[in-house]
Amino acid sequence: MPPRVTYLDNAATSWPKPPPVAAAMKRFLDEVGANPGRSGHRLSIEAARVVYRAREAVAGLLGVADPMRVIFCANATHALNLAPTAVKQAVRPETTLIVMPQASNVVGTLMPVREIAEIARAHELLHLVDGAQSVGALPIDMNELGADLLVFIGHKALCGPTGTGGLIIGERVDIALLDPLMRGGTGSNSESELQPDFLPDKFESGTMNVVGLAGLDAGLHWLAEQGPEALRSRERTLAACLIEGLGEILGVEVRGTRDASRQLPVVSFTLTGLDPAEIGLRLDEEFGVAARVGLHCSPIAHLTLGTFPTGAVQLSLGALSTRDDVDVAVRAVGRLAEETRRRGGAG
Amino acid sequence: MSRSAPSYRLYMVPSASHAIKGESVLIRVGIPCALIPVPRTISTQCGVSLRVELDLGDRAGEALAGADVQISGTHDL
Repeated sequence: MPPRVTYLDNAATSWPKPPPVAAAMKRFLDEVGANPGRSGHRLSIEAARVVYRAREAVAGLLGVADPMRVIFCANATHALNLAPTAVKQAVRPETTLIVMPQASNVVGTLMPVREIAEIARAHELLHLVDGAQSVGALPIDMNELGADLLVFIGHKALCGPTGTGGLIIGERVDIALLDPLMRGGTGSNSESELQPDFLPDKFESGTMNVVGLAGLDAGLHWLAEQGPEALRSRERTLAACLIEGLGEILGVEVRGTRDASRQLPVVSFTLTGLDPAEIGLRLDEEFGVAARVGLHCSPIAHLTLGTFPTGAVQLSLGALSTRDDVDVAVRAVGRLAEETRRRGGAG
Repeated sequence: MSRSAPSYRLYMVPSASHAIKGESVLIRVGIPCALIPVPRTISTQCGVSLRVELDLGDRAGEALAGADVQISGTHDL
């Protein structure tokens, strides 16, 4: 019988999802299902309420005063492509946009976002923060963060489904200078052939992923009920156990800060004598541990870490990860290390 | 034929998002409202508008303005 799955790939997407997420998506499909903003009937209006509730929940979590400044996209990539398109037109030719992740997607290291924001302000530059890994995993207030644009993703630490993400447009950004990534129907200004010039419609052409947003809203409410800080504290404790457990295995090198208070609960490691791809395969097939291996779409980060081109093995924790998950993974890596040593590879 | 006296005030908004935001604001301050399709006699837009009782119209307008809800027009019907 195959072993049960110990899912430690939450940096790619969180799983399992809290039960209310799927329930909200099913409820939307079964009971609402309509297109928001396109019609005036009760189901269309209810669909618009679903979208607005998700907008309010994201705004509430991130300290955004006006929910209309939350722009929904399909994912962080979409949002990241929208923002630079816009900003290029907003800055002078000799200026540049500062774009940075809030945390490394490889080893979880937290970046000095506030300090960079101060530099951006001092030089009158706009500052874009990619919060794909951090939004939901860290306490974030848009005002304290100091960023002008913040990208978020719904299906990681916010516990929502895939296909949800977006961009927060800060008060300092003039939306008249922003160019939408896509143009088309929004349901508003039907008399006009032109793209609407107001938020959020200007940047939300096409039928939205309302079923996904219903799930995202449920995920956000579940997070609020659980208490985000309590969840984060638990994740930090588990990450510290994981770092410590892996660090004690002969031949294993944990990459990054090795300090759970200075990183997200994302732990990457290498094992002397065994290729990360083989570690990933054996963790999955022999121990039921779902890990992510390779370069994590971040070759430069791996160059910095000294793990290019083979990459590393990544174990990432989520809101529903347990101490048992950590223990299973540490034992499994320990077994692989021991076998590799016996074969004369590690140590 | 004389038209009957108005009994509702209609707040026109740019899109459904603004209508829902307006509804949320009015519910919070305890003003009953309904979201209805924009009457064709007023506009050819295909969106929805916010309808409140006429005697609550001014109070609703203040609440909507106070919450930065974009209003593109008002009509007493």
